[in-house]
Amino acid sequence: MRAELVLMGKRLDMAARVHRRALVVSIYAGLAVLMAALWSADRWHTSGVYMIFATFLVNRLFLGGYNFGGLVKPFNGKVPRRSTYRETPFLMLALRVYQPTPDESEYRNDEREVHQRDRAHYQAYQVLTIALTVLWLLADWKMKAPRILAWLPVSADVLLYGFVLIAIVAAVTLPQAILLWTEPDMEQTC
Amino acid sequence: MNTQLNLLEKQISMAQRAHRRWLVVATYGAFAALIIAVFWFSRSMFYAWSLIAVVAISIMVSHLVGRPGDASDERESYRWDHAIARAYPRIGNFLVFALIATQLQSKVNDTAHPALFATFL
Repeated sequence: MRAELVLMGKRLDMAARVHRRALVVSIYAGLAVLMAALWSADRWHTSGVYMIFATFLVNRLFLGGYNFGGLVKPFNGKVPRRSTYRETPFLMLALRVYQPTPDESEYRNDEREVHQRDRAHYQAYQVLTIALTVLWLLADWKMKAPRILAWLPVSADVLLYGFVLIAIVAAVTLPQAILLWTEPDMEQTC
Repeated sequence: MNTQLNLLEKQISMAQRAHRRWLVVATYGAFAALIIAVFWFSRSMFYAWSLIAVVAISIMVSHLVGRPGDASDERESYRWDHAIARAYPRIGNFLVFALIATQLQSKVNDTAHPALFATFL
């Protein structure tokens, strides 16, 4: 796990656990606000899919794990695709979008990190099981006993869609969030 | 992990990996058959019985494998963590399929289905 986050050219210290917890809270608050904003914009009619894009962007910029680039190293421990260039691409250099091949320590997980990754997935799995049970209940009621959901101000279809979106967002971000939340304060190297 | 499975008062040895793999295949085969049968017959009583069958099969298999909370040593608990970490991305993929499937009829989200599903349905 990295101890600092580079955001718009500014370095943010993430060695302290309290900073990482604040980041996790802000990310989920931001995603909740975005989901509410998309709902008020067009009832997720065309914008629902943007939630998934936003989640992957959050992973790429802040969390890492399932995408290379955030605080947590890639879970698969593989080199990111961009590092396969054999020669330096001058056009990308000129456009300032070239990112050099990362050092092996930036993507390769050691034994302790693999163990932490597996533990975080196990904990996230418990939450996901509850989410799946809620989804199953909603789908079952919608199909067999729609009267149970009749009092809601939104239709059962919208409710189901919203819950599946939330479940996907949680599935893609929760292991990284658990790692950032539980890892103790890191030692200062200098 | 236990090496014997108790099925209708009969002891089946599961020490060999081949036997355990057959059990996994048989379990998922049974789940798939039940799901297809539920869709085929679409009767509420059959649905209820299928649910009971799924729970029964799950309990039977969990007797063999145990539960994560019952892991007796560090090695076993680590194996549970690792197994779930491997299964986790597949659940994520299934959720994406579920998201697409919710849009087959409801049309909450318009970007998910127009021409794509019309081709297949």
